Amino acid sequence: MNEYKSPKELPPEAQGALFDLLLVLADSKHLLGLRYGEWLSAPALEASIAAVSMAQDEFGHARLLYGLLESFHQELNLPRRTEEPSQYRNLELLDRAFADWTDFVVANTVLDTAMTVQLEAFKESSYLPLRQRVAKMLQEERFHFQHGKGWVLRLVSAPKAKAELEHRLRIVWPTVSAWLGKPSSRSEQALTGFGIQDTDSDGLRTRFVERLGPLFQQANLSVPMIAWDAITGQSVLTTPPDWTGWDESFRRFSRTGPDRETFAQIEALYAHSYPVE
Amino acid sequence: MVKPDEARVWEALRDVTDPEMPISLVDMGMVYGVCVEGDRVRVQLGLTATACPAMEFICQDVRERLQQEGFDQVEIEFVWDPPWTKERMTEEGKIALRHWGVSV
Repeated sequence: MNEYKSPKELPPEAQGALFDLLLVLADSKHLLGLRYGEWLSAPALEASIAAVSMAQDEFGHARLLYGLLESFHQELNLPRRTEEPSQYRNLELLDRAFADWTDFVVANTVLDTAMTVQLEAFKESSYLPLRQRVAKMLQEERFHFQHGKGWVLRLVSAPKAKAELEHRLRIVWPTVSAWLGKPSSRSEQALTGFGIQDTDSDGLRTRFVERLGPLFQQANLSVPMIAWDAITGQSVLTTPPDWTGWDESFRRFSRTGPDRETFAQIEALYAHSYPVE
Repeated sequence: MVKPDEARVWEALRDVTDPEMPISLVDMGMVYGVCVEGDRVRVQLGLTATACPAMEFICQDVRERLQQEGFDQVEIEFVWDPPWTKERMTEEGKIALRHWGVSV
């Protein structure tokens, strides 16, 4: 297997595909960090601490991922995106603030896990700069799922909260499931063909379902998109994503980007940044 | 065998402390490598967390200290592989940390 040490060493087909995916991940983690950080007033002091700590992790990962993109701009002259909402590639469920703590718990388990499954696929990546950063990010992700899981099990003890959680899971599922990528797309072929990630999008979806299925089962949550296969003892996906309107390079169905309130926060972040060396 | 110039850099880095703990970067195990070429020096640093809020301060302190040693160009490279863990700390560092009430 080849090893690529910089963007210019990558095969041309892989350059664009990896750039797109890294920007999708960076923007998604940036926005997830912002969302976690909005929960300083979580339903428990411990949860507030966890929210802020997880926000910090996500910002740290965004920092690393944006850093990886720098060399693509410098070596390949790939244009920088203009700072406008429609150019943001974050997972679209992060476009607006969480409505309540249930939204937080869903993001913490489902959205965060999807991103982690994508990162895990880079553990043996042929793209060295990425492989070298992934272990640290995964180390920091370890407790995110544990935290989400703890809250899922807590919420389902109240029937009303359990029903609401099931309802939200059904809403987010198609988008998150699609976010892992479209099978046989050109970018996916480049990413798997050159060993940048270790499996295709369906392989990622399988891992994603295997991670969440046992939790849903333990919590006795009825999520029709996942079924329990009694013969293999594994969780399987029952409904593949509907790809109508899908934009693979943005990994989004809609290109609206973060809502106005969110984007104002992002802009403010840059406007107030102090010059550093 | 560490080259004399590089040994001097390691020694100088013992004066630079982690802004959050009064322990040197060397004892923290955050210095991954040092490379000297003439009046240029490259330092490889591993941060304890990807979102280390003290990144800029650490860089500034490393630069200033090595400029005092006569290096005109100080290049800092962040290393994430292998990830920093407390096992990288020196015995001295661990003792100091325990003294400050952090269990390692």
